[in-house]
Amino acid sequence: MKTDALRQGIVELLPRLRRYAYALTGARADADDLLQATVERVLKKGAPDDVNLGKWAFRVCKNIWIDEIRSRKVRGAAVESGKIGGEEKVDGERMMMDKIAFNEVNKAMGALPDEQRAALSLVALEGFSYAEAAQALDAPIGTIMSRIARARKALIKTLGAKGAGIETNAIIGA
Amino acid sequence: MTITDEKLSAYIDGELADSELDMISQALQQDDRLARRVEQLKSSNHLIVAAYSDIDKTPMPQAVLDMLESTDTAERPQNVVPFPFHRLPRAAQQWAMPIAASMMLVVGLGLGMQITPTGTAVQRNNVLAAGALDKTSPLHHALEKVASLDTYIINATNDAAITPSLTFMSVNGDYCREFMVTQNELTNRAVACRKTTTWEVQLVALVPAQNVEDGVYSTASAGFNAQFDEFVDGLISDEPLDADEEHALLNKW
Repeated sequence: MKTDALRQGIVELLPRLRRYAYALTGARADADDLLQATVERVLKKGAPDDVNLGKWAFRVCKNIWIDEIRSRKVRGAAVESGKIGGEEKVDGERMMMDKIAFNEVNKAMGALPDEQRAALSLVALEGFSYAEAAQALDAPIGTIMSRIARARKALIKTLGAKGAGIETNAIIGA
Repeated sequence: MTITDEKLSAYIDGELADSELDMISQALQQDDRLARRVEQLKSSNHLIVAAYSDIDKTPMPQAVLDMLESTDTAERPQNVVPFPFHRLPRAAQQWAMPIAASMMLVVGLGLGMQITPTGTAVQRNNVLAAGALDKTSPLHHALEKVASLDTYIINATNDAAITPSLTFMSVNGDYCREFMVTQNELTNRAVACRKTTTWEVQLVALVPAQNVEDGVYSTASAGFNAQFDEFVDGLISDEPLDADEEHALLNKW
């Protein structure tokens, strides 16, 4: 891909990539670090000719997150334990209730296995189809479906959603 | 038969085959518990979107934009063009006026702008108009949070971007900001004032031609800009805020 086209393609992806980075890292500063590392790598190495840039960039983003950002353990462990999530600077934009809601969701997301978090974020936040998510995350569609379902169940369990008498699997008569 | 959470989750995402979709749709009509379970699972989507879309409200990191900016000025996309001139004292602003480009001013005025006797202007192509801004609009956000000379990209596809350029206290005691809105190669120069918590656009004017040379904005329409400057100068009560004062203000809003 020519440099200009690549650059323009990345520009168009930026807001979505950034949201995804935020959903993965749970902290704005980390999200912007991850976004920067992603853009830098895609600009430097480009995308394979036969791969959609959008899927490729999200894959790069997720891989960097797993390989590098999380390995730093600078803030990750604290975020996951919920110790730092509440302290994230939000420039006074969020009201207290919003903060609490965000921190609870963020903590629940942080407790998910990495691959589940990556899959659910792509589908729920960015509207990827399972096939697109499978391509972006380099996993079979069935695996994506399973990860998303497990992530959803874990999330609503952590967030205290009151069940309707259905614990895990709903069983009905055919 | 069993309907697993995995199937319900795929149902939420529109990923089921038609036969399964019909079967689950029927089951949901007959089983309230199942329907509630779908709502529970679906709520995760709303929570995630609500939690993480919030980052859209903050400007894109400059370091990232810099990486994506062409090093060749001629190739530089308009949505990241710097407008450093507003940091200069007004008297020091340099306006160029090429003859050919000045003809475009007539076209631009004829197509896009009128100035009413009260000094309020509207642009007729629906890109931007004088009046109160919706608080969910990108422009509202940019005026509340984006520092002068930083560019807030609304839509990279059509180069839509907002670049605040000046912040000042008006003679009416309101904080006002001058800014540029670019879209599809059109540039609007405008000024808006903050009334309590709502931004009201006071003046909008189409800038018919522009180019950037050595980081200094120059325009074909010196006469037009003088008219705009006159309006803004009449509105400013004192010196524009400096970067630190503006930063403190934007953090407060």
